This record gives sequence, structure tokens and C-alpha cells, in this order.
Amino acid sequence: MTKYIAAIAMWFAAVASFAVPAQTDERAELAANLGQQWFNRMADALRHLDFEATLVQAQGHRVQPLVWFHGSYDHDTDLELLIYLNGADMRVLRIGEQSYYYSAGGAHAYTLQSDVTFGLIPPAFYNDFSNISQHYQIIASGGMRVTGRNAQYLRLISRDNHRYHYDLWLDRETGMLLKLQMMTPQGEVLEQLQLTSFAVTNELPEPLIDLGNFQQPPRMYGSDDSVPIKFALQPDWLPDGFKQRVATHRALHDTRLPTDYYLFSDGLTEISMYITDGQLQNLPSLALQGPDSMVNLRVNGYVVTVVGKVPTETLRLIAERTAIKATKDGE
Amino acid sequence: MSDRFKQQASALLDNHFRDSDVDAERPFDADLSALLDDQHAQAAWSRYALVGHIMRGDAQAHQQIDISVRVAEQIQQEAQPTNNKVVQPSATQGGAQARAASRWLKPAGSIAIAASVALVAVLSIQQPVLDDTQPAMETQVAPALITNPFGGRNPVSYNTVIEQPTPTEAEIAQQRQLLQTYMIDHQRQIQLSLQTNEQTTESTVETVKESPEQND
Repeated sequence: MTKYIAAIAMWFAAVASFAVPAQTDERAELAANLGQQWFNRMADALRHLDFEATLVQAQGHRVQPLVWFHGSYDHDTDLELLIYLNGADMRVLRIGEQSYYYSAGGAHAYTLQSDVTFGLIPPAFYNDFSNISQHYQIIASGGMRVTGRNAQYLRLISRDNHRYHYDLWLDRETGMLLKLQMMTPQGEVLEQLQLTSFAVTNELPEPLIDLGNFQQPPRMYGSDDSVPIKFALQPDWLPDGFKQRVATHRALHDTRLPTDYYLFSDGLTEISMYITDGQLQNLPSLALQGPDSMVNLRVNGYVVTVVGKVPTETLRLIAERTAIKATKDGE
Repeated sequence: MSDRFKQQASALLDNHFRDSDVDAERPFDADLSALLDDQHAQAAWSRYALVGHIMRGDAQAHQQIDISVRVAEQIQQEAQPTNNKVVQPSATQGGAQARAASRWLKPAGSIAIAASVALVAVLSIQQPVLDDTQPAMETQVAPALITNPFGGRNPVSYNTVIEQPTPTEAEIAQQRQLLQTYMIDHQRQIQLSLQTNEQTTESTVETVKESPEQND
């Protein structure tokens, strides 16, 4: 009993002293450091671990099972194979810096010059945390059992509420990502990834050994990026950290709508912005919230459409805070 | 049928067939013709041939195995005693489906030159009219729309806000198509940006990969 009293007394003493804020700061910093270490371990595992896994990817009510093989061929080249198990047979094969996307029948197969596989996890997860540390923080806290293994729990939180958050569970033994949740700042889960089986193979998994002479689909090229933007209405505000990656005028692929296109990225999340003549595009003002959100807004005779993995509120702000600016070649 | 016939059938298949007693008075191919006349030996030969095909992996999926005789027998046996009994098909293994499990996708010759993406966005659009004057009853649920991007099949759910009079169905269909176009284009642009990203950061991120193979 006296022990408890002593403990409580000491606790009060601790609260009273200024040591406490320093201590909690220290602890937070420790958790953040630990978080970064774990994140980097994950990035390393995703690059260098030989494994085979099955997983499900859930978005809203849709659930997609996949198998996932990864191995490194030598120190430079890693191989990855993703097979979607439901519906049309879709596969992604990546060999080092070439990724090949196949869909059933091969009609829409294409090649990307990219050292990450698109569609499963954010490409930023393959790289060091320092690339995104300016706008996200990562906190290691506790753990639980995931996929039958001991897991370390990480929270990847944006420093403002303009972005989605991620919860990550990593295998304590290998650092491998076992589970992922993407959620709104309010905590609504929008997308989940859950490994259902995971095995480290210690050598190249069998499906990756003999790739033989598979067919390389044609390389995907973008449209010409060099055409300058045409419309006077231009983006004027973005959440901190989003940098402009593309700004070009082009005809939208399927509709041939003449559009000013912008792509912004903060290293983890991409936002696309389309500005079109208000006469030509007849969508009502609307907002869709989901794994990919979208806002369509009429501003000053233009239509602004913004798409990205961020809350609709962010997209709405981006769309609203556009401004008429003088373009270089007039109009 | 004797084991000798089986051996001979096997030998014949392997091109090792020798007449057993060449020095005897009988014609050279007496054993062979005896073998060929024997129905069981014929059956054995065709089974061995099939086994050989399967093991070499060149068996065809629709290899025919003659089970007609046995089926006929079975039917006769079962049909005669009781007329009202349903004929049970005997579970004879029919297909020699020796399909070597294709471990890896062969994007069979049909790779089209379409460098576009098979992109699909599942948009389920709810369109509550967020006008305070109108009751919530008038919310309209548009049916889901189906396409197919890599990783981008995001059900765009909930919270559609329309601040205008409710459009007609044709308009909605057209609008959905347009929405989808934006979603697909977004996915495509991200993928393309991965490529350009590569070129710009390759020089800076040297810590991860020390010497990337350029020609691979």
C-alpha cells in the first residue's frame, strides 16, 4: 500500500516539475524516431526481402484478393509479381526498373519505366521516410498480432488535416508491411490492405525464377507535356508541400475536351487538376469522397475538376481558390 | 493377357521390339502380328503412348479415351434390372487434362498496340440534393458504373453533393462517363509521373541503388 502512495506522490511530483514536458517531448521524439526507423525498415524489406504473400485489398465494399511475390535477383535488381485473383486476370510484373502491366487477353498491356509497382501501396513506401517527413509524421506505438505474426503498429499522419492518414502494421521480424489502412482525418477507413499469408522464402520465389521469354508490352507514353497552359484561371492555393509536377494544355483522352492539366504531389499523394471551358463541360458541381476523391466546381466561367487521394474538403478548397491570372500568350 | 504382351507392347512403343525367337522356323514378325491382333495389347499400347505423351508434356487437352464400350456395358447392366431407375453415369475419368500449370502468364499474341490503360473506376454515386428546402426523400441513387484501372478501382462512394436541379437519366449517364474519364486520366497521369520521376530522381537517389543496370 505504501508503495502505491509513494508512487502516486512521485507521480504528482513529476507532474509538478518541469521535467514533464521535456520528458513527453522526448518520448514523442523517441516514438517518431522509432517510427522512422520502422518505416525505413519497411522500405528496405519491400526492396530486398524475398517473400511470397497473399493479401486482400479492400476499397469501400469491394474486396480484391491478390498474390504477391517479391525477390531480389542480385543487389541491384528486384523482381515483383502481383496477380489479381478476382475478375479479369490482371498481373503486374516488375523487373528492376521496368514494370509490365498485363490484363486478360493482353489487349491493354503496357510497360512503365518505373522501379515501383503501381496500384498496391503508395510508391513513397519504397523510399526513405525523409522524402515525405516534411509533411507527414510517423509514430511508432505498440503493436498487435497481424497475419499470425508479431506486428509493430505505426501511424502515418499528415501534419495538417488536408490529407489522408495511414495506419501501418509491420512484421517485427522482417519489417514487412502486413496491414495498411488509409483513412480520413476523421478516422473513416477508405482503403485497406491485409496480408493473409506471408512467408519469407530466403531465395527468389519460384514464380519469379524462370520468367523465360515473356512478351514485353508496348511502353506507355504520355501526351506531349510541352504545350503551355491556355486558360486564365489557374490554381492559387495548395496544401503545404504540394508541388507542381505537370502543367500542360491537352485534349482529355476520351472526350477530347481541351483542358489545362496540372499534377501536384507532396511525395506521397498526387492531385490532378483539370480546368476546362465552362461551356464545354456540363457536369454539375459535385463532390465525391472515396479512396480517390473528386470535386467538380464552376468558377468564373470555367469548370475546375480536382481528383486525388485527399479529403473532398481539400479538393474543394483547391478548386475554389483558383484565380484569374494573365497567361503568357494572352488567351 | 500376359505380362509378356505388355512388355512387348512397351518395347514396341520404345522401338525396341525384337521377335523373341528369330532363329525359329516361324516368320520374322510372327510375334509382332500376334501382338497387333491382341486387343488387350492394343489397349496397353495406347495407354503407354498416352502416358508417354503426358510425361513429355505434349498431350493434348482433348485426348480421346475410348470409354464408349464400358459406358455401354454399364448402361446395360443398370438399365435392365429396374426400368424406373435413373441411369447413374459412372464416374469414369474422362479427360486427360495434363495441362502443365501455367506458372506464368503468357500474354498470348494478342498484345494490342494500344498504349492505353485498361482502367476501371467503380463509381457508385449517390446524389443527395443538399438543398435545405428539399426533403431528404428525394435523394437519388445512381447505379454503379464499372470500369477497370490498376489499383485505381476505387468505389467513389458517398457524399455526392449536387447543388442543381436533378438531371435526367441520359444526362446522368453522360456525366458518369465524364467522371470516369477524369478518374482514369488521373490514374494514368500518376503512372506516367512515376516514369518522369524516375528520370529526375535517379541521379539524386544513389544511396538505394548503387549501380542500376541501364540495359535491363
